[in-house]
Amino acid sequence: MRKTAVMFVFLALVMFAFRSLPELISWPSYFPKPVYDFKKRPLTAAQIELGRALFYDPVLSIDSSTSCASCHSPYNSFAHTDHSLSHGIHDSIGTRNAPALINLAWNTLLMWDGAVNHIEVQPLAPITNVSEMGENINHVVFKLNRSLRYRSLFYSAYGDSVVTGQRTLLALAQFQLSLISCNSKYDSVRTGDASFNAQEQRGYDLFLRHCNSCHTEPLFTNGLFANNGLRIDTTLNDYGRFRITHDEKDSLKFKVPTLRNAEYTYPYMHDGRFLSLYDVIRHYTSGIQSSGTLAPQLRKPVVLSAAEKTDLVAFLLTLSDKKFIFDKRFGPPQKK
Amino acid sequence: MVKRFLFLVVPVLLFVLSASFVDLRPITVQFAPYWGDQPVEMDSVYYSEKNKDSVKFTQLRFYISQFTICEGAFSSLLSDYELIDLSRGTSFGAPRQYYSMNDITVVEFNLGIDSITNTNGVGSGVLDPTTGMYWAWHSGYINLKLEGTSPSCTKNRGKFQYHLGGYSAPYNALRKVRLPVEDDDDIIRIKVDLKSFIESVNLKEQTVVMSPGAAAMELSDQAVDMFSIVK
Repeated sequence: MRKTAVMFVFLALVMFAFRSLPELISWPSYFPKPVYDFKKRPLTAAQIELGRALFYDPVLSIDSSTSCASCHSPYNSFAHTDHSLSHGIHDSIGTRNAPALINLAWNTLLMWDGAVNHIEVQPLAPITNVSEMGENINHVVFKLNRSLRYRSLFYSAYGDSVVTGQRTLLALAQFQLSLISCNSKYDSVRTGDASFNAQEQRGYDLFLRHCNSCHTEPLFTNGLFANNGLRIDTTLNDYGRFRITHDEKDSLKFKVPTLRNAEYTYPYMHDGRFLSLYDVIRHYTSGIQSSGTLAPQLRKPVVLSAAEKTDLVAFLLTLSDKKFIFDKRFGPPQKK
Repeated sequence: MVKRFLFLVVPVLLFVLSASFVDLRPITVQFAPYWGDQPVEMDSVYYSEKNKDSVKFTQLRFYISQFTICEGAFSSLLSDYELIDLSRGTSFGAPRQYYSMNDITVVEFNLGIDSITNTNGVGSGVLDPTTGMYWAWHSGYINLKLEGTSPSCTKNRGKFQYHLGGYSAPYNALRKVRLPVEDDDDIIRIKVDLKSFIESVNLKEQTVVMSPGAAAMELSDQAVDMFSIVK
């Protein structure tokens, strides 16, 4: 009898311990296994908070003008509305469109050309780029070490107030890994809490037929690189993944972006050439440029009627996650 | 029972005793830059008769990984990763406790960082990107940085900059260096002969290598030949 009671108390305690653990991140059961190894480097609330402070702080740029959020705004699903190409210090313009920063834990290679192989080292690229932040990680660490506010945030995050490059980058990664978008209408339909209207359903059927092989659900990207038949912009001469691999087969291939929150992330494509989802669909039906590396799925023309295009857009709008956009945990931190 | 006990204990005791009698000695490893037989100092001028050229060096840094000492069939890993900065005249090998049973016959190490470490995210210590040995615009450690000046480098305002790296096929620039040791010593002095390297590159045409690719592969092959044991 006593034994049972002890067991019961023990079990209750265990359950209580699990319940009291705040859930930092979660994702639906129909998502695949994340690429990021959360077992090796578990997220902590303090590291996410530090990463959030860094993400919104222009201290990462050489002249304290540009933060990550300058081009990755929470209200645009961490992309940059109205700017076809990202811009940085001294009003300089980069060569690529700032992509949405969501569901990054499922990404193997980052950037439009896959130049970066791990989310923890990604911030080095914009920090160092002369058209973005024009800084170097060494000097960032120097500046952070001078700041009492950051010394205390680093202490909370790592139990040690010394700022290092690794700790800075790890915190930025943790915040960005926490940006999980999975509360769109599409998700409610998946979980049985909502249903598509007739138009959305027609759009979904069209999506499965024409788009899903690359923009694969539920993440709406297969994470691979493809040439989607864009005419080369001769002012940029951007050959995408070829620059990284030097392999002819990768010429004009760019990362397949997620379509989640596409409503908020215009303009579209690696160079932001299309302003609306209609423009994008029109490209796939009548703008494909043929070349040796063109995606095999696009070799046969995609034929959609005007009504079908509207249906497809109606479906794409079900991928919008308003809850994510206005989630206070992801917005600018309140400075104490 | 007792017999059985002795059977177990005696070999263990013998091993412990023998280990305490054999030479337990600290091994130091030093890297030093040379120009042929002449020690190199940064910012001094060195002449190549072969190329009818002169050079100055301003920076020489490289990663060494899996530094291993072999004694015949036995081998011991002395260090996982070291960043050797010869522009500051440093060398690695703070004395390490090391059981030496026989004479050291071979020293082995990788010049650079392996591909697994290159894809594991951000590193700490000598692997922290603040060392300046990590590329920014694309991922990967710089295995070796050699920079300097020469009147031949007219294409790059008199400068040459070789940042060698790359971790994935077909441009994996990691190189294995294997050096036979003839005279065993507590200090292993490894010579880094910059003359052999500089005389194998074309300073007029190839002034800058800063990304993985065919050029980095070729120069990494040539970099292996810089290393030898000082006799």
